[in-house]
Amino acid sequence: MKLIRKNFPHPVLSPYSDDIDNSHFGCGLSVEHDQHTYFFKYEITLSNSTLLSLIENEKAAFFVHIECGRTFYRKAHRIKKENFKGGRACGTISIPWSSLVGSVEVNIFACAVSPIQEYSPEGMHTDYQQRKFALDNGDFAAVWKTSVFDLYPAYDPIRKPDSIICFQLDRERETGEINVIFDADKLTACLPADLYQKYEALRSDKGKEEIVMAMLAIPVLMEGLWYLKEEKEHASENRRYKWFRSLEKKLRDMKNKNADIEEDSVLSLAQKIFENPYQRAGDAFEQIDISQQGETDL
Amino acid sequence: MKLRIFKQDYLDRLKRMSPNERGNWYRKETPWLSEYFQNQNYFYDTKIDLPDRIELVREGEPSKTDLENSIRIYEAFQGKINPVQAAEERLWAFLCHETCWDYMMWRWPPEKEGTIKTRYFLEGVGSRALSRNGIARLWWFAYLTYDQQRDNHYELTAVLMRHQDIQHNLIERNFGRNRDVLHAILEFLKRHPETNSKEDYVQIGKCLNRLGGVKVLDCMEPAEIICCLESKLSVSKT
Repeated sequence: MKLIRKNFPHPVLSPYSDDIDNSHFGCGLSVEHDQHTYFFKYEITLSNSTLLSLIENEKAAFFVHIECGRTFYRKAHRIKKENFKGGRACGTISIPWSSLVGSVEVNIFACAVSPIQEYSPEGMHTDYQQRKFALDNGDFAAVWKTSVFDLYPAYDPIRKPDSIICFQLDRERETGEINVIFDADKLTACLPADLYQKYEALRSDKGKEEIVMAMLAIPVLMEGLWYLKEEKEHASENRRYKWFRSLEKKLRDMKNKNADIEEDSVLSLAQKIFENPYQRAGDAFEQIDISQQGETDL
Repeated sequence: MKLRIFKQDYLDRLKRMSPNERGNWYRKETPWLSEYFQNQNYFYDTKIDLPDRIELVREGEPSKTDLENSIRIYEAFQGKINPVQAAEERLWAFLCHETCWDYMMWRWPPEKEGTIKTRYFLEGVGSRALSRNGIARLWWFAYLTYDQQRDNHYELTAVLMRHQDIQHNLIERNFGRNRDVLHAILEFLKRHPETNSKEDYVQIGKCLNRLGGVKVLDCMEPAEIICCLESKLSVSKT
């Protein structure tokens, strides 16, 4: 439900308009979770004598409206009058994990819950010329900014490159470059037939795993990191892809451990994420060298 | 039988199949994934038990079978999946391509690119995509309209299934996500069988969209919504 800058046929207290002066309607909202439940924690403050009185007399009420586009969840949770004291209400709404996923919109507002005759709120703008309005059940009285949360039940930790990167055969091309696809659950490197054949052969040799990673997985991860930086404005949309969420989480964790990730280049970040891959690739080369020397000696 | 779902990599691969390639595979009369993926392990077995066969009706006028098939799919899954699981493309795409392939070929012949994208996969991430997928729509329509309080629990499902335009104008609009609001509108349609043209359904959608612009439909009583529709659409009050 979008409440952004709507023009209502009666005065509504909101941060978007001066319909009502010298009054305040503010909300704080956060989401926490445990293993089974999302907890929407709200704090509402209101200063307007007319609205306070309507809520006290249960002619109006506060609602926390939660909507999830992917699970058809849409519900207005009414806040009980008892939770509202001295112009302030705070509490928690609990919703099972099984009901919400992806982008979830939350709106907090007050609306009429029974007909209100001669509505003329304190501080009403002079343009209204002291007119009186009739409000019906469901008519807005106060609205706050929409909050959007990206809720996903789990973040896959990046343990190995194949947890966020996959290599696949591009059936359309015999030869050419590697292309990376971002709109999938893993960063997907599409290899033309000739390269894919070589990749398969290398991959099957355990001793060359680290070399393959340094050669192929690092550039793909760098592409992913670039994408993440470039697409910052569309992060919400991209969070539907697991690789995007996992990488975001990894960078957040690194930042929490005081790593200066803002200043790092994507190459440097990619090496940190996969923990010194070139060193390991070098070690693997040495091992191959040693074993080949052994074969020659024999 | 355990419910199977696609491994994401394989689903992604399938979605990226070129139109030319699609032309060959989507013409086959029997499921072909195993052949396409060359016997690789392209699915997971979940812990969810399903009946050994989900028999769907494949006779008569296809759209007339939607109600019966919706009930069959819903009951096969009843109490076994939750809404988050039921928003999973891996689940519905697998059912469309394998378990229910025969039904899909009959109900949604994969002759056009658009049909394959919307009916065999989920195109986009929102509820609209779920209401278009050939099998997901059957489950979701029953899930959203099932009413334990009524003698016939599927009475409102039957109203929703009367016409595809009802589904488009209610389920694909935001207000249709609120179960109480949706049930109120379907109850209105049940009480007013004379409201039965495409134009009527479009009018209802528009009317509620306008109303939802200034009012919170979710905070209104079902009786108020019905009353509102009766007065706005000039039908006799019940």
